[in-house]
Amino acid sequence: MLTSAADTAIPAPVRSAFSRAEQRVIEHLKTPALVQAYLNDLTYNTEPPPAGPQQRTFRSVVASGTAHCLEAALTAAVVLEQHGYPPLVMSLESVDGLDHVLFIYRHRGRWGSVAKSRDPGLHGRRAVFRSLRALALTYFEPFVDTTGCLQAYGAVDLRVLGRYDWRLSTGNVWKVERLLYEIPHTPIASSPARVDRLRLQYFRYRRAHPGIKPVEIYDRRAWSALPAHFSRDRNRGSAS
Amino acid sequence: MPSVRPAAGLLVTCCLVAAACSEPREVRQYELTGQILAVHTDRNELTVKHDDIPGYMPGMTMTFPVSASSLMASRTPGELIAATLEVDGLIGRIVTINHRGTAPLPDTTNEVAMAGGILEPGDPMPDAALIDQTDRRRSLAEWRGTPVVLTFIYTRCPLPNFCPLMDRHFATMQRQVAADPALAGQVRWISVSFDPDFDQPDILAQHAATIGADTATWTFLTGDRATVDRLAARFGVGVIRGPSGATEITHNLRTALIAADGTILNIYPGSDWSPTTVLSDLRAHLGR
Repeated sequence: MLTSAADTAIPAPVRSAFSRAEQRVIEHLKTPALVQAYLNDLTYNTEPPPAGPQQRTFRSVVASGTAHCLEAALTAAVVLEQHGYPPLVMSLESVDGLDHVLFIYRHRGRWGSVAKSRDPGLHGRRAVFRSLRALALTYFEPFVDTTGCLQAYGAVDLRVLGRYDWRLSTGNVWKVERLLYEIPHTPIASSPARVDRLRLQYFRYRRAHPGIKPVEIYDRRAWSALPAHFSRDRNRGSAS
Repeated sequence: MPSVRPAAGLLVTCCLVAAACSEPREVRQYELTGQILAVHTDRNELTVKHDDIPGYMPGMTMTFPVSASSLMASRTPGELIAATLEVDGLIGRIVTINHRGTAPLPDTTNEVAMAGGILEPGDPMPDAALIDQTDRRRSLAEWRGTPVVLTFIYTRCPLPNFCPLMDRHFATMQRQVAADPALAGQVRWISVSFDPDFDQPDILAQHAATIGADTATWTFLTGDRATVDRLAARFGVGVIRGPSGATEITHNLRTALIAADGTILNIYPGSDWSPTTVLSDLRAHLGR
């Protein structure tokens, strides 16, 4: 039997699907900026042994107080979906295989992002970009380190996963990672000379500031607030 | 300003468990104005792009339960409404609706439709009114009675391993089916463009010729953007267009095998699937 294209199936979970603690988090985090601040306060999930590689959902992130980049993007997607934002994520593909993932959103027609990383330059951006390409390009310079270089970006609505429980499963949700591998990624062209110059700049900074990752060498006008520990690192570094 | 009244049922509950509930919860009412983007009759819900709700939440797109099915009657996407939102704790629902007019739907139809969930194997293929590469009006219902392999593309896609690969896979399958006496003439192929602004019928006809499609069994469809976006969303294809004038479209890929009775048999995500797999599933379906 044929049905109308406007027919519907499964919506985002109703609030009662969340635990009281999860509901409190959702109630508090009404905007992308608040979600970014929440993620900034979480400890980075370095996936230590014995658990090893993990890809956990919002539920485990809230319970553990830790997240890595993809877990953070999923957390932002679950929370902000409850406030009316579509659960969109962007995959940033690096030449060294150390890809990055962001939650992305539109505000008044401009794109912004929410993200968590061990690198200060790979956190969120305010919603000021006219296109996804423009948003992705703001990650190009901070992506260049000893081995990394942004080579392509793609974006996808997590609801294409259908009934797969990427929101509240208590296990690992590897299918999300597979989805990000399978979506089309648009190449970002760059000259080897530019990448060499950025890499040299990165090396010089690290040599001059041992143990500190660069922040001030980048254009940060659209960056969201960074986790406090990056400021503490710099203060310690300048005092020493 | 929100009006406030105590929730009678909750008050009773509080009396019964007084130790755990020292204050009665409040039911607040807010005026909600906005545009209906989707009507979910089966579960009494409306997706509304609403203005700021002073004292409660900023303007955004949300799906709200509706208190009575009578309020759902004659609701249509695009309708402008003034409604009353009643909020009881974490639960908000619309309890009155006044029609204020209609307006064109915004261009986020794909994202809105995605909120309704996506099709899975076993679901019926949705219908949609589209236009083919000869500029003829077509309905997906026309293909009922024949197995169909359907995918979504746009002809300007610059990534060789995505939309162009779908074209190559379809061309391969079409040739193999045509050469197989057990299958020849029994399968139809549909490529739906999610770039209707550019992929007009003449462009699709030219594209079909370029990639060697036999349009006797392979049809290229386009349509108005809202219809295409809704259909793509139902099949789990997300579509994000760039700013006006930009040619690039950010999307994922999904290809569906649909049985002769209109039931979706399988969905192949991404571009990693092979024509051999689809043809094998097709032969199994046809008992060949």
